[in-house]
Amino acid sequence: MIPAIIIGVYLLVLVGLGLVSSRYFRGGTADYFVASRSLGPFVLFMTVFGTAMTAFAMVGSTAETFEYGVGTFGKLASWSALIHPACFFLIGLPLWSLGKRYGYVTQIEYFRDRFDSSGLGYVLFPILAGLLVPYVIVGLLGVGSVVGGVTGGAFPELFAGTRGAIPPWLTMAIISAVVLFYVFIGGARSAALVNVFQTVVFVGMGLLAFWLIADTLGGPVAASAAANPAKAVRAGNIGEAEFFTYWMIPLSVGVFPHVFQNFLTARSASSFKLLLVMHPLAMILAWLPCVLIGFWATGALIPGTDIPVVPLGGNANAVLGLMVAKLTSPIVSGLVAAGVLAAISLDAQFIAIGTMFTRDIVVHHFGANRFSDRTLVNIARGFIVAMVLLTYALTFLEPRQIFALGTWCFTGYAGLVPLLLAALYWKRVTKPAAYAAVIVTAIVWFSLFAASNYGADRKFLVGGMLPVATVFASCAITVFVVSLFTSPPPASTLAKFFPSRPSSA
Amino acid sequence: MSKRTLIAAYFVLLFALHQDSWWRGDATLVLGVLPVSVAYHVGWTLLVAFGWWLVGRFCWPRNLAAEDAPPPRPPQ
Repeated sequence: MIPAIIIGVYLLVLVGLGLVSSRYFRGGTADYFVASRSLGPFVLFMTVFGTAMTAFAMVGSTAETFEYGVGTFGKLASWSALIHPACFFLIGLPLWSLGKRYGYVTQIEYFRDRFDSSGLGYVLFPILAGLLVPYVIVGLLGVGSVVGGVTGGAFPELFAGTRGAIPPWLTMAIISAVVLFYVFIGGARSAALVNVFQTVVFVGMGLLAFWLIADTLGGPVAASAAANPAKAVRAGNIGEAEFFTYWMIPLSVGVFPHVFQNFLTARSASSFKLLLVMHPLAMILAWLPCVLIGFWATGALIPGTDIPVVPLGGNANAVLGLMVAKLTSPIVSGLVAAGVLAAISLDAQFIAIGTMFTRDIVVHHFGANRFSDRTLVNIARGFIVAMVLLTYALTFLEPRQIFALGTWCFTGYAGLVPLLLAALYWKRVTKPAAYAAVIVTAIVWFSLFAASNYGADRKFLVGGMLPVATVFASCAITVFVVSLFTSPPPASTLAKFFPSRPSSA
Repeated sequence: MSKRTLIAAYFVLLFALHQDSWWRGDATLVLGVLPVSVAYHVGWTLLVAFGWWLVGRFCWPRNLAAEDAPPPRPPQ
C-alpha cells in the first residue's frame, strides 16, 4: 500500500506542476510548441537530459548488467556521454540557429526548405512520427510493469486477477491522463517544468537505492566482493565488434523529433554550453549506481540467509525491483518506483507528434493563414489526444514484440543521421539523394527488422555488429553516391543555408 | 595547430580509447568496488566532459556568439 501512496503523491505533484506552469502559458503556438524559445541553460539541460533518458537508464541498465556484465556502462552510458553532446553540438546547435532565423519548429520544415521539396516532408512524416509511437508504447508498458511490480498484494480484493497489484491497463490509463493533462494545458512549457522535477527524482532515487542497498549488503566493498567475477568483465559477455558499434545507437538522439523540439526551446546558443558539459556527468550519476546494483545482484544474498536476492533464472527486468524490495523498505520501493516513472517521460514525444501533424501536415497543406494561432494550438491538442488514445489502445497488443520494437526505433532514427549531417555540412547533397537516402534507409531497416524475426531475436547481429551499423552505412553511401550523380542544389539554396561567415572563435 | 584542430584531435583520441580491449578479461576491482573497465570508463567520461568544456571555451561558433549578443541600442 505504501508504494501505491507514494506513486499517487508523485502523480499529484505532476498535476500540480502542470497547473503552475499553465499560469505562464502565453497562449500561442510559439509558446505551446517551443516555450517561446525562452528556456535558459539549466532548464534546457534538465529537459534534454530527462527526455533523452528512458526507463532503460534505471531498470534496463540493472537488468543488462545482471545478464551481460558491467560492459553495459561502457557500451551505453559512456558512449552516450560522448555521442549525445556531439549530436547537441553538431546537429542541435546549428538547427537551433536555423530554427530561430527561419522560424522552423519541426525537422521536416527544415528538410523541406533545405531540399526545396514539399514531397520530402510527406515521405519523412510517417517515418519520424511512426517511429515515435512504439517508443511511447514501450514507455507506457514500462510504467504498467513497474507499478504492478511494487503494488503486488496492496489491493487483494479490488484486483484479485493481478494478485492485488494495480493492473497495467489502469496504471497506463492514469499515466496517460496525467501526461495529457499537463501537456494539454501548457504544452512545451509545462513539459519543461515537469521534466526538471522528473530528472531530479530519477537521478536522486537511483542514488538513494544504491546507498541503501550497499548499506544492507555490508558496504560497497563487500557487495562487489560477493558479486560474480564473470560479470565484472566483457569477455564472454559481449563481442568487441558489437561493443564498438554501440557508439551508433546514441546517434538516434540527433534525429529524435522530441529532442529536436527541446533544442528549439533554448533562449540562446550559449545555453547549450552547460548541456554539453553536464550531460556526461549526469550520465555517470544516473547510470553508475544502477549498473553497480545489477553487478551486486549477481551475488547478493538476503541478509542472514543463503538465499539469493534474485532467484536463479529470474526475470532480469525484475532485478532492480527485487534488490530494492528485498534489501530496503516499502517506502524506498515506492520512491524508486516513482524514480522509474520519472525516467519515463512521454510528454515531449506527445508534443512532438502533435506539433509535426499541425505544422507539417495541416499548416503545410492548408497554408499558414488559414487558421488562427489559437485554432492551431487546439488542432495540436486534438491530435495529441487522438495519439494518446491510439497508443493506449496499442498497449493491449502482444507486449514482447512492442518491447523489441523499442530498440529498433533507436536504430531507425540513428540510420538517418548521415542525411541530417550532410544537409547541415555538405553543400553538394541533393534532393534526389535525400529521397533515395530516406527510402534506402527505410528498406534496409525493415529488411533487418524482419530478419531478426521482428525483434524477437534480441541478439541479432550483422557480421558481429549491431544492425544500426548496416543501416547507418546504407544511408551514408546512398547520400554520397546519389549526390555525386545528380545536379547540385540551386545557388539560392546554398546562399540561404551556407552564408559566408567566420566559423569559430 | 589551431585550438579547434587540437580539440578535434582530443575527441578522436578519446573515441579510439573507448575500446579498452586490454581490460576485457580483467576482473580486478578498483578500490575494492569498481570493476577496472567500469572505473576506466568513468574516468573516460570525465575526460569527455572536460573536452566539451574546452569546446565551449575555445571553439564556440563565432556566428552563434554574435546571435546571442543583444541588439545594438538605437542612437539617443
